[in-house]
Amino acid sequence: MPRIALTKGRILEPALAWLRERGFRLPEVEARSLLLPLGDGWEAVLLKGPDVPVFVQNGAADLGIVGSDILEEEAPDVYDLKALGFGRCRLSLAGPPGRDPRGEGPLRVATKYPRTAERIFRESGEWVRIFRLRSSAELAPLLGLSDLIVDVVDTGRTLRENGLVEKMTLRPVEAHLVANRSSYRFLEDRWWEAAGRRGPEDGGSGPSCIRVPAGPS
Amino acid sequence: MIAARGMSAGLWMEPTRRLREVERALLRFWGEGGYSEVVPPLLVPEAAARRGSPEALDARILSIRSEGVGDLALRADFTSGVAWMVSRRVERPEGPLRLCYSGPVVRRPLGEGSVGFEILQAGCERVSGSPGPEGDGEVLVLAAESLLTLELKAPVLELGHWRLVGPLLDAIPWPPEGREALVRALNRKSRKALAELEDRYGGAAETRMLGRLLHAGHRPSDVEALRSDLSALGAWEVWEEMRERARELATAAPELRLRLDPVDVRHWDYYTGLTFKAFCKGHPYALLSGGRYDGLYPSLGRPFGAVGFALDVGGVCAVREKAPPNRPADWPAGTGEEPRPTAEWRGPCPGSR
Repeated sequence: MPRIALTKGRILEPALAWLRERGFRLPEVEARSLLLPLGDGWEAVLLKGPDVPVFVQNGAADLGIVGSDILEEEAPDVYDLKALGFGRCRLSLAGPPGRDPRGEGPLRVATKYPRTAERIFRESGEWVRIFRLRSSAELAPLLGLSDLIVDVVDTGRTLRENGLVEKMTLRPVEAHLVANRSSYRFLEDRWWEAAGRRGPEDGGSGPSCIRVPAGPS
Repeated sequence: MIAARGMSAGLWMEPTRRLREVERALLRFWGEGGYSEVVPPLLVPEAAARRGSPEALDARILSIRSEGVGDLALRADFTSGVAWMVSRRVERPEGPLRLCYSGPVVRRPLGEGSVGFEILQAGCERVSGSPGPEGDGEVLVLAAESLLTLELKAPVLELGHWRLVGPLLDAIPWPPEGREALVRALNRKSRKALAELEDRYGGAAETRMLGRLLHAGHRPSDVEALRSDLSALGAWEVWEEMRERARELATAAPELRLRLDPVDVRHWDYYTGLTFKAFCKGHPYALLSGGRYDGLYPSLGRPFGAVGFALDVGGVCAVREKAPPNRPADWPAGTGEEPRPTAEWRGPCPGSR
């Protein structure tokens, strides 16, 4: 059964709305359901963000909707078909207000995005020590683990509640449509349209699409 | 049950039987087409393994440190091993060398977690005395006929050509990191990433052409609409060459669906001409991939050219299991059913010692 992997959390609702606009009939999402029938033979699987590219890359899902922050961090071997225009937020550098920790040895940065952070600081020439965290990066400066954090910021409320301020926007983030490399070759027309691309002339089911003339060309 | 990736280790009796059936059918088919089997080394000096591999495969080589021997590597592909053997045995081939092989390759997975995995590959290499596209048609048809011989359900064979996009990539006046990012963006077919790079490094006529080719998807008519631009870059003749290959395929394997991937830059550091891949619906990876790689033999001190392909035998078994062909249960052994006839122009294997 063809399958699309969706990211649970903030971008799930707009992703479901986007699918509804593509003609899929969606049931109510129950708190613990991980598989959703979409109609037309398709189903959706609900996953944590970093798992979406793993499922898509290895063919457990044909398509996926996932944040660009995850795509940059994980660099999965998938096709990145379209930025979807929803789930917009930003990857930011944040820390306690007022204090500039630079010049006191390597900057200590806690983040769920170590590869992205490492790349960004390498480009800027900063000397950093990066701590990889799985969750709650905001706690790291409060408890003295790090000077700064690199994390996704939407409204900034979580930062404020933890006494942190946004110091710099590093990357804009939004939801992307991604495809498995093999599934891409067999996509239905609706997905080509959704991706704003031109699919094969044979619609994936006709004869050779490299037109071969009857005589010498 | 054979894993989708076609792991070839730890298989019990029935999956082993199916795997060997496919392997034997391929080797027999290629043998009848004049391709002689060789056994390249499983264990190679690490430096040699890295020299013969595309950069993308380089990260997947599993190396072994052995005291007194130096650094060794398990083969991650067959091509470098075949090239190593040929370069030591053949000074000047009198005609094309036609070789085939079968066996496991071992790869390190990308990311974290496991140590390595094995894939059973089988493939063919055609080595000739000089570089150039001679023999591309033969090997492409052989690859197509191999897919049909295995009776895979509706495989799609996709053609690309390094010289269709290579001149564009070469002409873009960006720093190395910009070009590396560009190749990554094209490999992901990401128009957004391409646009961001144009903003950062400055758009050029060549990047706009790449964007249009990326937008073209699999439509030859879109490529043909770029004729004047491609002609200016000397790339139009490449398109004509691809059409010629398509004509040959349409004659030899009319059941096969052909597609075009005009911006195929995977292994762009390795391939030098025609590239091709095959996919089957429901299988997450390419079942077959190959192309012309004229840079490898010169790096081993031989001015030879070569073209070849490899099949993921375990992947083939997984596809056949999901969509069984209409064959007797004991296919191919003992049924009396012969593989499809090979093209007439494939002769015996000359030139080897």
